[in-house]
Amino acid sequence: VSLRIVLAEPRRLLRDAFAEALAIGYGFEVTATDGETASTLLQIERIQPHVVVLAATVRADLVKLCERLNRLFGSPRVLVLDGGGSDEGLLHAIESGAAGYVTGHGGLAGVVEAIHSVARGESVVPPAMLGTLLRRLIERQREAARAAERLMALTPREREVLSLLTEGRDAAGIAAVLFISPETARTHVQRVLRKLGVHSRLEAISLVATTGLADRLERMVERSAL
Amino acid sequence: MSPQLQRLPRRRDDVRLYDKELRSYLVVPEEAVAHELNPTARAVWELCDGTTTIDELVDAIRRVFSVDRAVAVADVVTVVDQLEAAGLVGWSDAPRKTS
Repeated sequence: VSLRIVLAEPRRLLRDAFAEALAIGYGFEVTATDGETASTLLQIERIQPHVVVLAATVRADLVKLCERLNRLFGSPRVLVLDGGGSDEGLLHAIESGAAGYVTGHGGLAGVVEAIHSVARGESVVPPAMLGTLLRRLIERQREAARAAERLMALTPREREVLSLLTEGRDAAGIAAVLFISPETARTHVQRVLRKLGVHSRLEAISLVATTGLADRLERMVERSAL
Repeated sequence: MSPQLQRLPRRRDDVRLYDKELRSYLVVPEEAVAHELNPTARAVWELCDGTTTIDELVDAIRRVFSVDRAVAVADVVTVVDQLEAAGLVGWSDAPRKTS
């Protein structure tokens, strides 16, 4: 049985050449898209591919694609193709839920091998990049643990304030929701920033977003509201 | 959690890592021996920096390869034990107690 592939590549010439090479040279059933999220999702639903090969240059929402594939098949089967390859690109792919990341260094044969591996349910990471990836993941995990500790140091009211900050509210907006004065809201915000060890509201919002604390914060605020 | 998972493996500073095509080797200067590494062993070697616990390594590997924890623990411990047996890795923390 030949493998069905959705190939998402915004550059027309590359897309045509790559699709033809994979179909004629290696017997894949290839459906090519321009890499926009909507059109790629449409093709995924229609074709039900074994693997989605996603060029790193596409504008598609990688997380959304992986989630959709997860719902369809029980496991994401996105292979990110990044010609040059970068540690940042690899980290983004893996954190988004991609099953594999392949560079162009192994040529077309390397990409084909990676497609087969991902179709078998394996994870694909360039061996020389694996150590750096693991280090970055460990650093992220440590940052998240430190951030979680700081979150625990906040009072229930301060967590509510932080939660409202992450919704984009300013001191006046926070004051209105919590029925407190703007001055009191500003005091709470300053305490939150100090306890989190950040210097601005944007930094606080970024801390919550990048360390995966949003869900935990939401649960804490819900619990404290009971 | 097993105390072993909290240990801090540390690679020897004088050992050099070489990549040749898809293979990787550890070479000890003054010794005519090259130790070949598979991709996972290569990554473990890079992270034997004396500050990363085996448990952190296991969690990161599980994140990438979606394997059971027991499998990841066995893989990492086996690699570190082999590197230690070859004299390529030591420990930053206190030595393990043997029963």
